[in-house]
Amino acid sequence: MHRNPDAEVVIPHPGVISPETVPESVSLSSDSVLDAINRLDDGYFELDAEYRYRRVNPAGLRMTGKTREEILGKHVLEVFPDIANAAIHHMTMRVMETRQADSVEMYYPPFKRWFVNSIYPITGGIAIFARDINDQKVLEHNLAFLAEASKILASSLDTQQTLRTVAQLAVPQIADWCAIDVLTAPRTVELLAVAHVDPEKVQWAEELRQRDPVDLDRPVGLAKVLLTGEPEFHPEITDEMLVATAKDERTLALARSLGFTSAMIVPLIVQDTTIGAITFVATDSGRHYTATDLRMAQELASRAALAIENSRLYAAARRAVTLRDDFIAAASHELRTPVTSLKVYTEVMLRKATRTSDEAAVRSLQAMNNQIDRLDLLIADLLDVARIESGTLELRQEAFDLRQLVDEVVNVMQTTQTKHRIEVDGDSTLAVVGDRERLGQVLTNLLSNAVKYSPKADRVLVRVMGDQDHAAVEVEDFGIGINREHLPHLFDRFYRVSTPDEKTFPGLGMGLFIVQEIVRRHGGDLHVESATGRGSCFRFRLPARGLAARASKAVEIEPS
Amino acid sequence: MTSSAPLILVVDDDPGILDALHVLFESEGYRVQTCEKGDYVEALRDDIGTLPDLIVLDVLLSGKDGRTICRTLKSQDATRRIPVVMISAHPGAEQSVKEVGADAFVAKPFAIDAMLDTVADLLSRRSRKGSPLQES
Repeated sequence: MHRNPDAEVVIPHPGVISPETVPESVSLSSDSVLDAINRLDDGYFELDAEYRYRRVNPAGLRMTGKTREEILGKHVLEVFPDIANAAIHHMTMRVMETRQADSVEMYYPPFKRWFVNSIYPITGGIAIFARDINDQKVLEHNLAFLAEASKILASSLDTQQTLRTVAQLAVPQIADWCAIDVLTAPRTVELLAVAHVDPEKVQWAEELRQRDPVDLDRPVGLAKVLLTGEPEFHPEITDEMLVATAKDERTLALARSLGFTSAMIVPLIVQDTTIGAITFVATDSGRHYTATDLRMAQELASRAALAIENSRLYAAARRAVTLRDDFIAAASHELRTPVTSLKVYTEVMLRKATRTSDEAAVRSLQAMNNQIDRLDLLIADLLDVARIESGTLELRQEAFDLRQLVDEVVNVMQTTQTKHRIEVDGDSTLAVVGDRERLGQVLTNLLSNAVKYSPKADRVLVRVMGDQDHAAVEVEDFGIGINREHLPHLFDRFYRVSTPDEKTFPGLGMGLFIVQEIVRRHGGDLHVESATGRGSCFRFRLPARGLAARASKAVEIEPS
Repeated sequence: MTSSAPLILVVDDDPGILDALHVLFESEGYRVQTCEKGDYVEALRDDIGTLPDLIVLDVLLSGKDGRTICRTLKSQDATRRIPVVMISAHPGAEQSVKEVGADAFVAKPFAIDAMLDTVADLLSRRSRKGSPLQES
């Protein structure tokens, strides 16, 4: 189904038989050859040197819709006056003169079909083989349309918008009028998109729909497709059909004025449920849909349905993720309040016990306080994860000495560690720009991991290193190490290393995720090297210019 | 607890926090008044009994922004001189509370030492000056 070009379309054709292989002036007149020609599906026309038809086969007559008498002995332009200026006629004359075979692909408007004509010189004239390639051209055209439509469908998860685009694309390539309807509720049909070759008629189409809304209790046309999930296919729309389906005189008049010639309605099926339909209508172009067109329409509908399904699944997944993130944010906030007051009560009691030198009470209250701190840290991590997910983790920009920060964090950690000695090595001063508190959190996290995962070791090494481009800190332990299989996921949110022999290490899999996010937000990176049974070494690097350079750096590291 | 001990008014919509702060300040010898809603605080005028010596005010109160209350307090002659410590679980609130004239900000969850030090510091400054604080 092609949009009729105003003039004949000529495309250089690769050639059915290359000119070199045809001997000059072949004579095609022996009985067996003529018999073969008469059996050809291709049209065969012979012209003498005066351009008069000398021979035509049955296929040629079928193709042109003419009788033998209307053709034989007549000049080519007498039979087809409209090709006088067309490329096919020029080529015919050229082959006649040059005796060089040639072929051309053409669209012949009166027949509304595509042909490839191969012209050969023969004794006393030329022979023209005409092959109807319309189905092939329609297929190519449909495939191109489908490819374009698929691209549009895949380009966005906004289904409504993409379906509108598809309707617009269908007109005028596939239809003069394209409408997409969806079932918004079990019994409600919404006209989602309508496109018409003549923009003025969009209004008419909409009016027709308003006057004659889809009545699911009257299973004809669109309603039937929506109810049954089966396509409706009308290669030919007759006036009787309009009369039979119109609700009243006014609707009939409107339907007549739209000039339907052919139509097809295909269902949009998502997970075995019909959720809508696409209607293709031919009017002004006078085209008539074929089985090939119907297949194409069904293919388009199934791709559109897939796009709708994808977008629904995506929306559902997004909702689930949002719900979870909202829950984490709300839960951590709600948990924090009681923990805050619990801590105040405990500390008040602890102060009292200290004042009265009640040592047993001090010991218990101190232990309680430590557990509350642990709980508070977990909640703080949950809050951080929620902030990272919602993009509300704020970082300050301040210049400070990274080595000094390392020393401070190590000193605090060391006060609670009796077994491990934390040794700091490397640059004695290292200026960076960033969020001092958050980077302190990174160090605390890496150090407590180092201690936690090296229960049998007695030391942890920290190295502070700077060069022109980077400031880096390494935290190395001599503990259990990390199995190779876990390394790629180690910084994933909620990822926990769980092997039977590592059960003794609790956690929620948030620490390293937060560490990595903080480092990345500084424009830096986080690496780990580890060997099972030998220990792990975590290293984070920050750009030497600090956060100031983050903008450009971040583009390279995080394209998102 | 003596009648001459400074009076601290604590305003927080969470009863748990409110009571914990009550216990904390009382254990340190202050007199404490608590309030879950901000309306009372805004209504503080000369003619209403004894004014508090210091107010601890939550930033996010249900139905009312603590910062609006703080601005009102700092715009009334009767209450302008009362130091206001604002508390919030949102560390980013620090800047905005300074803008409405709060004298100090303490982030939740707070270490009680920090809270007590802040309160003690503001009260001692106030008694030393003995004159209304300048509006910031």
